[in-house]
Amino acid sequence: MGNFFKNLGKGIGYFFAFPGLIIAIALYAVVGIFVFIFQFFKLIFLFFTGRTLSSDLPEDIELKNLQNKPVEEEKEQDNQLSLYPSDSIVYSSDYSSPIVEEKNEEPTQEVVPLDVLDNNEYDNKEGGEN
Amino acid sequence: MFIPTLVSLSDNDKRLIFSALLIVIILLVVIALLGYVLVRVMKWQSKKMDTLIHDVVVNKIITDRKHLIRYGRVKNWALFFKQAYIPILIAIVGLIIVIIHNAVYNYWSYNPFSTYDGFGTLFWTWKFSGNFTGTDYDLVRFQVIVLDNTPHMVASAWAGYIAGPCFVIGGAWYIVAVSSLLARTVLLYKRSKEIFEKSLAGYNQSEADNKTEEVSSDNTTTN
Repeated sequence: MGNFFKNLGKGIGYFFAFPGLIIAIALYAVVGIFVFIFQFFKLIFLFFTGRTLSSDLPEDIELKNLQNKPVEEEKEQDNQLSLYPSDSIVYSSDYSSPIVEEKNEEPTQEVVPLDVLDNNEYDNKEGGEN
Repeated sequence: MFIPTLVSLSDNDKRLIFSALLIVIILLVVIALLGYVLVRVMKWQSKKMDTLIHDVVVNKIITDRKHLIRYGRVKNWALFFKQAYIPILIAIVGLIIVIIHNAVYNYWSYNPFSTYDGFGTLFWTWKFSGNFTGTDYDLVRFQVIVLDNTPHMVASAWAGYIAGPCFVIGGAWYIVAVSSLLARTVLLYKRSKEIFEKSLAGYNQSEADNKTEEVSSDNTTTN
């Protein structure tokens, strides 16, 4: 029942607001035609200058700059602090044979002349048997 | 004074009063429904204004009310142009067809909605100005409603058959675009008040002063 009266109230409200709304819409419709014609000619002018009606307002340009700024800063930071070694590889288009570095590692075992080694082995064998 | 006259109403009078009441109720319901639909469309369309102004407000590019209204108005009219050019083009097509018809038949007083040689021939129409042959009433003079037209096709009404729907569709679409424009304008003014509103509800200056003093004393003790 309460819902019914609520709807009834709304209906009465719409009934009384309707004429005002219609007058407002009619006024806007008349003004709209003139603005439409003005904007049509403005659009033709803007078309030849490579712009549109709403895309290049100063506020929008400022917003675009603001939105693009952090991305550029992040890119700069990434370049400065490269965490991944793959980022630092520079690929060249020219094919070149791989450079093989010569290993100049020092031997881990002490190098003993062959004669000395044989004599020592022989001496050890003889000593061991005795 | 009127009660005895109301009591002594004849059956015919009662029937007339009942039909008049019925017409008024139907009229009320139709107007209320139209208003309801229009308000719903306006509420739905007004949300687009939030989308238009959201980013510049959130990123604090616009920081005062007048600036927001100026920016919102430019965006609003640009969106209106986008929404209105199709219905206006449709209406222009209809107008061109009527002009061609008038030029071909040299008939410049042609009404494309006429019930004789226009779009109106496709509908039932009634005349509300028929002569009432019965008794004349002093208070209300009811006139006989006469059926004027039944749906039929007329070859010479070809321009009306094309231009009529163009005008109806274009007009209805244009009204929707205009009502959206109006709704967005209302919301823009509402938002411009809300966004930059500064409220002092619940604010007490002495309490705020005490709080700042407490904070400063805490800082000095820790240092």
